[in-house]
Amino acid sequence: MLVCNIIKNLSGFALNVDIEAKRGVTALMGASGSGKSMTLRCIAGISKPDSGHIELNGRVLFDSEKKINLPPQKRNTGFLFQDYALFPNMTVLQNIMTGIKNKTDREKQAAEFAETFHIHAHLNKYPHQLSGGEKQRCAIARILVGSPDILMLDEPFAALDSHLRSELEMELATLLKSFPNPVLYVSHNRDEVYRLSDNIAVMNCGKNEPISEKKALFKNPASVQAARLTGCKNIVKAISKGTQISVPDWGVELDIAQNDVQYVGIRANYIVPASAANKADIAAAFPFEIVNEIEDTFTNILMVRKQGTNLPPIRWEMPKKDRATLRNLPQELALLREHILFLR
Amino acid sequence: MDLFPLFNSLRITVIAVSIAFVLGIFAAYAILRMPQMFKSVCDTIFAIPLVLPPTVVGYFILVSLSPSSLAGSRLLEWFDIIITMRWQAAVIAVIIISFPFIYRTARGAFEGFDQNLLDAGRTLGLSEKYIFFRILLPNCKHGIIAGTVLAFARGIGEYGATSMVCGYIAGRTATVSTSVAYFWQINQNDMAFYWTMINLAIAFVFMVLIEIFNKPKVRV
Repeated sequence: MLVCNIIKNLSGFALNVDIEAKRGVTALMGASGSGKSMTLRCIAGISKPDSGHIELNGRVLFDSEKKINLPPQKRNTGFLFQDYALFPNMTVLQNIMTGIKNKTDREKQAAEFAETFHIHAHLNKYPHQLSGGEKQRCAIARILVGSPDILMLDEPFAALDSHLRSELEMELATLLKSFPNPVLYVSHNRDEVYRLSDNIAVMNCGKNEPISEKKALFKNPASVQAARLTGCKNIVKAISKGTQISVPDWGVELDIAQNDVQYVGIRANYIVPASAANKADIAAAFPFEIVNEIEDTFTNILMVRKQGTNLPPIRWEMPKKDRATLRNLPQELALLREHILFLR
Repeated sequence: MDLFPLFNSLRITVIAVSIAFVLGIFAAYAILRMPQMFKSVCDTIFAIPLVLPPTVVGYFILVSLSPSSLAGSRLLEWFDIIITMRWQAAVIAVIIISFPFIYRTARGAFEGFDQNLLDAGRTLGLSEKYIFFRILLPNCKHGIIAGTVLAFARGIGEYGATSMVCGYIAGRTATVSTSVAYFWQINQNDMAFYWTMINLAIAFVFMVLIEIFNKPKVRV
């Protein structure tokens, strides 16, 4: 179990992270520059927090009050760098051997791990002779051969071509499931995070929101930042008015009694024609006009707004086949109660 | 034909550049880890022989090591050693003059090196010594070798400081560059020409070596 509670002043913002991660995959999700990678670096010991406490499986790695700051060599953390950081002057075998801490039978151990990670055919190749996927497998083998107490992955797929990603992602998912210690996983890709992680901490400008279970976070994000990172495209200001919520940017009043709402959101694929919805579920329905239509790979994106207004458009996304059956557009669009996100 | 000056030059330069090689690399490594303020001060001091006239370097060596100086008189009294006007004095001069070439190229190579690789080594539990000798140095070797060749070329042709600290004593302190000046001064033009040709040949060899080592292997 990892306990990390640190503060570090960086140019532009202050890192203020408070997380606890058990066994399983915890994702740190945030826009670039939100301090995700710096958090990993502080845990690994290659950057020093200004103050705080880091504890791994009961072992104190850093404590500013007790003046404890273990060097990275003594922390036993596994850190997968974005570009894998293989040593260019060493072969695959030699690279994996650097991760072995005991002195006996190093070559045999390294070769065994190479076999597990399907790179035994390349043992004597240098990193520049490997493909992106082979590099990643070599780097992971090099890390796991030392049985680290935690595994930290910094955007592991950023350096790969997209067609390689899905294949490697499945391999990595299997691997992460069998890893007996906490895994911290940094990414800004919501789909990747959803597929690979169990819990998610959203990071925003150096601060993290409380860790939540991934399904709960995607279903009901609490903040604007979390909603945006989980892919909600329509987020606007809202005002609570007793039994209604007024949403000026959409030009509607939502039939929902909820106090202290600052923002509301609705996912682009949850908007439905009013005729297809159960009347009791509708929070608001409105006649609309199409501002713009974009054809995406598998969906059609309609930018719509309330008819006869000049409001900023709402994004409405549907599968292409639904678009084909919708040639005769409905009269009104409906926003359903269960799909409205209340955000702060 | 007496080839002593060539032998003497090679002896002086090999010893001096070997010492400057170790000093230059460690100075470059040390400066990487220094706080910013010390860094610029030390950097200036380390690089200053590059722009200083060699005679000034020679002057400092004489003032600090000649038998009439404080340190020089101690050396003579305690160890019975005289450094100036011996070939060993030229070694000291060449160390100082060739040092910045190695220091600066090593520093450039270290700074251009991917710091993530060093950090990766640390998280893998590798010692700082292992990281320095087995990761940093091997990956920076092209830059460092090019700098060393340059230092060697500069050292073997060193004249200003060498002639001040050990003069020209045939068969004892004569070097390839001081020979040219000496034979010219005593009107032995054919000998001066002969040593000039040797210097040209050495220079040519070094230019070829620099050209070879400056071209890094293509890495994809």
